[in-house]
Amino acid sequence: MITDQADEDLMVLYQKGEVRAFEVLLSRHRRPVYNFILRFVGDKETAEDLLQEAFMRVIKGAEAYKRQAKFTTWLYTIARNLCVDQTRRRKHRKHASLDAPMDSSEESGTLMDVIPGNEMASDRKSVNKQLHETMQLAIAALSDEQREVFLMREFLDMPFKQIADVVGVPENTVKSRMRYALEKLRLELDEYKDLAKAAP
Amino acid sequence: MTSAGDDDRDDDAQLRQLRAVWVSMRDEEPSDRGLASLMAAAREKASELEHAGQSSWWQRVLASLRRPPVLALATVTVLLGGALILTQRRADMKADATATSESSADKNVVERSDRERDESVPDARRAGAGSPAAAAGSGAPTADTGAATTGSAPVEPTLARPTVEDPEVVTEKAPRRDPRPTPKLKAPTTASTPTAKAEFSVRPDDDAPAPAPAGGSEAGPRGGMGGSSPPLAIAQDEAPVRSDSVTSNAGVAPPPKPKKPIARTAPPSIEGEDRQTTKDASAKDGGKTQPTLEELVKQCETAATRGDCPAVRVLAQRILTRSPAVYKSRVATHAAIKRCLPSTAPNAME
Repeated sequence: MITDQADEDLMVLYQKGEVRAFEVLLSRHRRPVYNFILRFVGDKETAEDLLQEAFMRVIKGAEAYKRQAKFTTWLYTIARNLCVDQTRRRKHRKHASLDAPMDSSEESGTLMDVIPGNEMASDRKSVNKQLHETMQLAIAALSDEQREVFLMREFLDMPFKQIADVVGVPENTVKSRMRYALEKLRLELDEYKDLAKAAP
Repeated sequence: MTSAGDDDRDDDAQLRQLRAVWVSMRDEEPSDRGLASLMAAAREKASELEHAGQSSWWQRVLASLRRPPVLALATVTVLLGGALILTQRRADMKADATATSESSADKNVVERSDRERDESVPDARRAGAGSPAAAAGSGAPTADTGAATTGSAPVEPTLARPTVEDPEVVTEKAPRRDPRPTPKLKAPTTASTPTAKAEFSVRPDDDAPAPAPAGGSEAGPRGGMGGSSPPLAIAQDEAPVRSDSVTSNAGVAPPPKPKKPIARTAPPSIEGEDRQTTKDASAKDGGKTQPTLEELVKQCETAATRGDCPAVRVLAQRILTRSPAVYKSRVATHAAIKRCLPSTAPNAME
């Protein structure tokens, strides 16, 4: 079965003109790549554009792919570079507006809404939502280097070695950045530790 | 919760709680926007890749040749090949230059040898004509100067020029060479050939590193071609000239070193011979290095032409001492010499 094959084998198949192999790859990695991009850039529309661009680059560069390279390393390197370029392009917008909606959906609130008030959350759902949004803000507050390492490590479950390959820095640097990212998140979320305890 | 293989997480309680928070964050589902265009591009590329896979072998080779590593290899190969070719060509050019310089040096030696041979042939011929003994001893062919310089080698008649030179040409040449010391060397084949005992002489000085005419290169101590050794001829040659015609103590001078090339010195003027005593000549007669009779005659003629009568008288005396026949035939009949000689001298001599 083609769906059981490894990413690298599927890519080799696609190099031979097998479109089905690419479809499998797309279905396998589309969602995690999208979420990585979304958590990196913080914007759904931009994340979808970047996702499409990332897979378009995979298509264009399919000839140059070598079997020895890990496909996910190659794919996330492309995605990460696109995210870095995107964040550089919008550097002028250093801080998120407190009035701006957090995403494009109608029902999404603003950052002002998630800033904790004096009153406690009435129910668990609202607590979770508040906690998740706070977490998103805390992740967005990380530097780009720390954020990419944190996202790949905690959400994609990548080994440090592979993260180092994707980012292009030594493995110890990746570990250091990860340590600083966790420390920063701990400080940012310190006042919500009680909420975290209450979270399911 | 994620768990990496190389996990070195320092999970304290607070961090575990935080991690539980972001792990519980649900993943967003991407919209299908742009998915169709993405798949269309993927199909187009797949067909292109498939076509590329079915391309002919030469297309694949061409495509592989266009890859950067192959281009880099080709560039390095071209550069190395060029460097190799240039190195080889330079080595060939060096070899050619060496061969050319050697051949030109040899050519100069040959040319000089030919020129000297040309000069020596009339002299020797005239000597043969002037001296019946020499003519009888030499047997006609002129000995080559190269053979004369070999010392122990027999004189080989390598050059037999039957040309009869115009006597006037010979006499015209004589004054021109007169200022130079024109030492003569007996044929060094004293034991092997009968011509050595004769008065026949060659002009080994012509093989000497003479002041090169225009751009002529000297053969130097190496000698010339064919193993001839001009320096030897000079060494044997120079000393007699000085001792004979210039200095009075040359007769007691040590015999010249055979291999040492002696630089040609300024020729002593014939006036210097005025100060010489006639006993020099008699001393030389018994010496190993006597001036040849021909040389004496030539010097005498030159001195007479120049009007140097005292020298003419000295030389005539020596010629008369050594060969009255030559004196009669060449000195006494020479108009210029006769003017310098006392009218009674020949008779007195006789």
